[in-house]
Amino acid sequence: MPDVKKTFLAVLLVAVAAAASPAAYRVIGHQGPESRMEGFPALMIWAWERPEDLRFIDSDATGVAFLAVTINVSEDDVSVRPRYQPLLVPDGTRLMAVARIESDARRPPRFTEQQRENVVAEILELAQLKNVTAVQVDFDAMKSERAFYGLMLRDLRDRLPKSTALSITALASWCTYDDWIAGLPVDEAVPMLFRMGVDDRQVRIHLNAGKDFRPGICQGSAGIATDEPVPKLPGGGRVYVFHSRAWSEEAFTTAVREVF
Amino acid sequence: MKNKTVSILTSISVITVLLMPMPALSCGPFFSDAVFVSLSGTDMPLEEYAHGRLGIVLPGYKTSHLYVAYRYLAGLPLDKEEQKVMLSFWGEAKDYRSPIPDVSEAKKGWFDARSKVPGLPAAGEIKTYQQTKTYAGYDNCLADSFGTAARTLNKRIQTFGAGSPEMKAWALAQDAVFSNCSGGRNIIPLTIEPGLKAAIQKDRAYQIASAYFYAGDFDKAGQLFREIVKDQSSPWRPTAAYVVARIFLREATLNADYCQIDRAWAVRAKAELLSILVDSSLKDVHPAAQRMMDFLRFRLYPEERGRELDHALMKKGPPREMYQNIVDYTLFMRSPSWNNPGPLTDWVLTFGADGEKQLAASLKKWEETASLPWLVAVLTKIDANHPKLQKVLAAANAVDKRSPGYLTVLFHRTRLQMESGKFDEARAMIESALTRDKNMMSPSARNLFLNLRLQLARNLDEFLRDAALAPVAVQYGDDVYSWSRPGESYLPDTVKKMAGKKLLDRDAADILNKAMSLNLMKEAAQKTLLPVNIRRQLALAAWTRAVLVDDEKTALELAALVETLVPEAKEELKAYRSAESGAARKFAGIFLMLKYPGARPIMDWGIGRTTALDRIDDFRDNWWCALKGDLNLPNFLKPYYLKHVDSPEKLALAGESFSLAFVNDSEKKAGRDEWKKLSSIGTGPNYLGKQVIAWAEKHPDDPRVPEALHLAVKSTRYGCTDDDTSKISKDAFKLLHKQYPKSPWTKKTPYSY
Repeated sequence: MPDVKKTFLAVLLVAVAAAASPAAYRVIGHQGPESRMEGFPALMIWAWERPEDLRFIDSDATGVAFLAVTINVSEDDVSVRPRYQPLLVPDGTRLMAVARIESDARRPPRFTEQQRENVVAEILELAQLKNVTAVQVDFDAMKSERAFYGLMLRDLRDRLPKSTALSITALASWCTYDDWIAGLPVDEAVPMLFRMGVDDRQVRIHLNAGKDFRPGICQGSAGIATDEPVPKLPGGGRVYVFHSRAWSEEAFTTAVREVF
Repeated sequence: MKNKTVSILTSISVITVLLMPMPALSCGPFFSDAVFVSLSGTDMPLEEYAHGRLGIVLPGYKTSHLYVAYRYLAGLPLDKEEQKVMLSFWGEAKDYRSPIPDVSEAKKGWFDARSKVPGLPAAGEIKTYQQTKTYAGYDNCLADSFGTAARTLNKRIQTFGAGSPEMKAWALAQDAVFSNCSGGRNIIPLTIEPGLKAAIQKDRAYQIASAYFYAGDFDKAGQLFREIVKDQSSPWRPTAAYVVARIFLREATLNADYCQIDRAWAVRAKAELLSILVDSSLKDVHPAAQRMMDFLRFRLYPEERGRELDHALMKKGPPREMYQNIVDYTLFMRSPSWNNPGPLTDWVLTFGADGEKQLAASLKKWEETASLPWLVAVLTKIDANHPKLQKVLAAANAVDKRSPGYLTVLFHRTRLQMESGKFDEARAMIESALTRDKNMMSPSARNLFLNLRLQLARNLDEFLRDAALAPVAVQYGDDVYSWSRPGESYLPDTVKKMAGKKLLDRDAADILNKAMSLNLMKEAAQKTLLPVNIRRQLALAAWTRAVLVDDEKTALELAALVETLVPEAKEELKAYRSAESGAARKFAGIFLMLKYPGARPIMDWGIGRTTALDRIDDFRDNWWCALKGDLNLPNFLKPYYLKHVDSPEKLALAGESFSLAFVNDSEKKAGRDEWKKLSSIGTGPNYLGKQVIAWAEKHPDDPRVPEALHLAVKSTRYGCTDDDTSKISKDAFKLLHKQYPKSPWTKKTPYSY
């Protein structure tokens, strides 16, 4: 069996072991008892901008992080593109609304306070969506954008309902050698272990050496994709899975059976 | 029968047809490869393509590209306005705006008008979309809403004056209307105060109805808009009638099941629209009503609407209508109907599909119509053995150089000459095309002609001249980047560094790998005709092959060249040359291969392996897999490749299908024998592991042995494996641990695989 499969079998076994306990499917380790992430299953699937009928999932075992809005920041503007495609999930599914932030390379943003306020306001609205108990921010911030991002996350955390979890996606490098996100007021940072580009090699070496991610906020989860080899993962975390097409029951089953 | 263009393309990397739109986050396999021919759409500058410079039209082109091609081939060229519409549709217009209004600009127009009224509170951002119960948003307040508000306010200002109390109240009321655009039900107490001027009263009634509509209270909104329709004196009467239909449409989309439309509501909307369209007093909203009707009919009766679009796209119409028609048509063609299609759809479907049936249908249509589109379809599908070939060629020969189909026809005429064995004629046609017609060529068209010329090479120099091509693009997952400008952020640096370089064509790689003897490979590597990046790989591949097939003489001859081109392996090559002839030298060669996971006896095509020669590739692209004709194609292209080559057996023969005039029979036999021998050695790690174990058992004191055993075990983890690999890995592991327990290489080898 390839090594990656062994690793993911271990991940799955952890999830199954967790299921046998009263705190079914809660993630082991890293999460304190007050964690807002408690209760989120060990398996989360990303539902991106395409029609997604996920009524086949077991809502006890699988949560859904769905792209809810794309926020474009340019010059002094903030524009918003909502999700246009329907999402159907079983009752009781733990939902995380994802806000993707994009900065316009052709019209570089000035990152004004007003823009920060607008972005925060947009994301706050997601927390009001039905059954949403967490928001996730997806922003591949460049170095020059980090200060804005950090301040925005602080404002957001201050104004989110206390019980609403705040998750962010993180470039793998942010969770290894470039850990600038340490100290951000988020409940988790999900290292994205796919589409790693130039970091791919370095991150795989890091993980293959058995090392965990560095900032504590990165240690509770990992993001993988169904169409890429999965690196060796530190055990015991929540796994987010990206599928590059709309999920089908078959694709989901295959992902669970073969990738894990 | 295969589509003939595609049969040529089987051997060159192509951009696959993307039937679905890109997801918001464009994601795909984390591999990149060179694209030599753009199959899914033209790579001609789009302005020129829209102007009728079609290059070689290929069956896999996206619908909008085939539509444009058909218009020109059918003798219905796009006029300047239509060309601009197509450029706008492709997002390429420089000085032309989409005829579909932009909501951001419309909002700005509203704010500009509003700013003329003094004493208003600062304008806040207006969000225009509303959430549904399925977490999807829909555009609630459209550009037209803001445009209408701005126009009306400007008009009223002229009557009442910007500073009048009427205008302040008007603008505040409109603010209240727009406050319902997003965020759910937020009706504010809009009332018609006594004493309002008549025009303002009519406006206010419309504003109140609109507020209910945007707030999602469709019953109330419908009732209020109907009252306005009854009011013959209201200037809003036509618009209100239209909005009633829109309310039904919104009910139809919002009350529908997943991705469907509620037919009952849709039919009500259709009936409402019909009554508008027959009412001349409502003529102001007829264009908008017609567009909505088109949309509804598209959803309700797609086949019928498809035929309408087919017809509409072949005649000149207003830009906005054409734009919408091409949008709708491309949507329609995602799941088109073959049932009694219109002429455009018939051609697009037939030309774009592959098979005997499509050739027969194309021939029939061509014989009936003698038209250029169907001649092009026939030429694309026919082969040289077809009984009607001469008749088809006679028509093809008559196609004038000024015809938009000329290059496509010329390409297939040339291909058919080749297939008929008329190589000199074909060669002359290619030379003419590449020189006299070069201005007609897109980069893909040029590569297609060069690919034909490669197959007609009369000597090694001619072969090498055309073996390396300039890619037209690099594909990285779902994304395609221009090869001349691959600087976009998501490409790996290893790929960016190759930008602008010529890369080995897939056919050339097949020929080198399967149809050439070691002798010719060596000669090819020694010549300086290939770019140095390819020569480097070729020299190493030839040397590796020579070692593997036990051709020590050739391996020695090549070693010096490899030393020059692959200086990082200098020490190992020196060791190889100085080793005792026979088994010792062979082991030196095996040891080198183990140290350089990029060493392999075959040539990669396109971008190939990008990891440094001495480094392990993370995706296990190390050494070689069992050579059974299935060359090391990137996985994501395999389905396409196999689909068009029909069977793996044919794939295995791909390299033998060329007319290699310059390879004599003995060289051909030598090449075949070598390939056969290579095919028998299996996957790299297995072969290398077995060689090392055999050497280690005979020469346990060789100081290189522990390292070689370690590397052999490592290769079974990172290389291509099969059912035998585990045993070989375990044998090497055991031997290492048993015979050399204290070696540092043993400590570095904790597991077998």
